[in-house]
Amino acid sequence: MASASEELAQRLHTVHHLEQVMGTVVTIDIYVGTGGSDLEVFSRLEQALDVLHDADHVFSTWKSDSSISHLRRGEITLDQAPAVVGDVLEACRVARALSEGWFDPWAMRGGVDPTGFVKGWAAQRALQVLAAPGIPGAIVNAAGDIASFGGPGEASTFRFGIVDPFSHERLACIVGLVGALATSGTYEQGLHLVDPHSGQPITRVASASVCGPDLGLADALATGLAVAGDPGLAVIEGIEGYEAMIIGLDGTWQWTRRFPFADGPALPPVQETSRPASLRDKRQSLNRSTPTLSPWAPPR
Amino acid sequence: MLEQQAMQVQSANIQGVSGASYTSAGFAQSLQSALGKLGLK
Repeated sequence: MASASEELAQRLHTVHHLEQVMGTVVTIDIYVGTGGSDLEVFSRLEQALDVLHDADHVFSTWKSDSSISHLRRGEITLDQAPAVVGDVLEACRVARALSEGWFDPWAMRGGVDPTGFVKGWAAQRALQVLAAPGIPGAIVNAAGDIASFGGPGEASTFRFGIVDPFSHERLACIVGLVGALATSGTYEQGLHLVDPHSGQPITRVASASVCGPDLGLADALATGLAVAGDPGLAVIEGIEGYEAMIIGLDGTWQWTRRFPFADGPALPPVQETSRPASLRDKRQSLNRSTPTLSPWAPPR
Repeated sequence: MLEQQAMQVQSANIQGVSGASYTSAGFAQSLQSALGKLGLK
């Protein structure tokens, strides 16, 4: 049964694009309004892809000829690098301060490594290219870190699922928002996070998600939160406009007070209309729960 | 597995999936990939 907003969304047409870049696949979804021209949309899409590839070219630590690789090896100074490198490192300094040191590109092995910020930052910049009349909404999803504006229909926010870190083919929960959502965890690529205080690889959570207006910062904060664990949640609580949730290594969920669960935390996938309001209200007063079973167990 | 994934994302009525970063190789197994195959809601 389609809601009014879903029916509206169906009247828009969408452009769905997959791009292999930054060592992963970036998904771009553009909602084209009735006034949008395909020529304009595809021109914008191409510019957005350029933003991603340019970021990859400058910031990939895997490419030996990238500016960041030259900088890490001491072959160039910051002054000799493209100006955007200085901009990104300055933004990383801000993120490091906001995260109270839990996100720290300067603590990484092999020299400064802004990777935890760059993917989100690049996706956010690509998204901004798509902001145009005739495009009422767009999503750039860089390997699980999402930047978005607008919505899938009039007066409705996007719904984004967060992967269950213990069972990757399931969703742990759904959030409703317009803006950025970043998740950090080690279940896809192993232990790649480093504790800036000890220099040792570590993670203290199974999954750490941060949402807010900007995906660069959200990405950095999620990286820091995965390293920090519980104490990191209080740090994010203090950052205006940003919310977070963590799924602990023991399966315990914790979240900041205004984390925008779409259907309430740890609830089974029941119909929107049949959910009692009391359940939705609980998420305001609770900030900790230990689900006894995975909340998104699919029907068998 | 893929069918189960498709059911997950379909019943959830979502427009994107957030999770730990996958590589190019890992994308095909991701819920985001399953969502893309269903077409955007």
